[in-house]
Amino acid sequence: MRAFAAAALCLAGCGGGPEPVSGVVTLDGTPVEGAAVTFAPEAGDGGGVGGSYGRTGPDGRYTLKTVVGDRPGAARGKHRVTVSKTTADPANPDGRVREAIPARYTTPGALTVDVPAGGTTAADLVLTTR
Amino acid sequence: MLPPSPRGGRRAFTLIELLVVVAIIAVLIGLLLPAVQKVRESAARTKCQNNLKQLALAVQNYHDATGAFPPGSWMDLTRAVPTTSDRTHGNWAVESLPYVEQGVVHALYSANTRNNGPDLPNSEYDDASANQPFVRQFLPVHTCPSDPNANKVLEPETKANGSPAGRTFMTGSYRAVTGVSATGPGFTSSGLYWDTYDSDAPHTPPRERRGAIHAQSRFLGLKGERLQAVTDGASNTLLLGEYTTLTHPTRATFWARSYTSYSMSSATPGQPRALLGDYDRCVAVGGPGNTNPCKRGFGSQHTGGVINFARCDGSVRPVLTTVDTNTVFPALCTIAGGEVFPDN
Repeated sequence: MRAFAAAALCLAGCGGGPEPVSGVVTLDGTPVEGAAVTFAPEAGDGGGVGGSYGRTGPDGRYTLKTVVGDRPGAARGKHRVTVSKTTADPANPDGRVREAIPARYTTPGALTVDVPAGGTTAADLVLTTR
Repeated sequence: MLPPSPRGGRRAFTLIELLVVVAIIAVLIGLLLPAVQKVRESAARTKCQNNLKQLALAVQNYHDATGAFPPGSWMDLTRAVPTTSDRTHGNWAVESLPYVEQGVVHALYSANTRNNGPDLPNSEYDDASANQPFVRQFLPVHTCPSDPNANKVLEPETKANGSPAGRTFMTGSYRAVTGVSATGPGFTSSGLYWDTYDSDAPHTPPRERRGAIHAQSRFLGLKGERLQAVTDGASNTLLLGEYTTLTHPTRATFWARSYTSYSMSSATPGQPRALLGDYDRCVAVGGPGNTNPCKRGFGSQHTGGVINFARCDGSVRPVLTTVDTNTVFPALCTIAGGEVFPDN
């Protein structure tokens, strides 16, 4: 009966809903706190879900929510991922910002994550300075 | 004397009957209201698209008359080394005023008396006191009916070096598409943009990231783009787009504000937050470049998650807020990126 209910729900909502995603961000083995993680589907719009975002806690763990609609999770499939931890320069509000993450991770390309059906709690992002 | 009332003649409504009638009317109104709301929204969206069409045609007419697209802004050239916070003169919206029946405002805007020359007097900057009456003009063609900040005169959040405090501007809803910002290895952490220039080389992003309308500067040899240079195809290249924000009105669009990111935006690859149409939420989501991609976003308050854009061929078509920000949206923002993408 429960399976039937799940199947009925699936008919209404499956095929493109966000899957739950979380993971840990480390830089040279140390968890990074307060980093902004952005997942953007590698090609297409992720079945209408679009991109997702999260912010790491003290243990470096982030949990994704969709940018559009704030629903938990991320679209299924391959994503290009950026990680960033910035502070604004108060002396120059329209200019430079300070970035704590190596530059190659702040632009799409260096990191990709494949979100499987059913989601994952192990979307760990291992960053290195060199 | 009153005539005796007829007993058992005309029967009055009972309370129950009255309540039933009221309930039926309430249900009917309840059914009707959302439909009315939808029609109103669709009318607002159509008006919004029509304004974009008018502005796109104005920009095309400017191109016909002068041989190139108008400047996103004219950068100050009184310094030997330019910086991001230099003052600016006219912008694309001011330059295209004569083509939207606003020739008088254009003629009065003193920034047009000379452009992009050395030793400009202070009166010729967009924030000069002589320009205040004109940059506060409410122009319906620059106003999307769904813009929560429509018809507000505000002091933009930031100003150029040497710009006097307290200068106010009229809000607008449309921005020029300047290209794709550059972040990551080899660039500054905040990114490089086509609406301003950096004092360090490279002063602007690589050429293949250029949009149809961008800051013009003799110092950098940056002139207006010609339609022939739009090799990605005029129908595949965005010209103007909506940017309205639900929050933070001092970061809204200001149609006559030529300084950095108040009348110009760009694509930031891999950052869907820049298409939310909500400045504070974009900042809260966070990401590379901190607030810079939020300042240079596109966005709308229309239902259905669409942002209207005018393309270089003059057509107006919406882009979904969930658009692919890695490849498709940046490709649409450049004139000669050489991308190949399927017909959408």
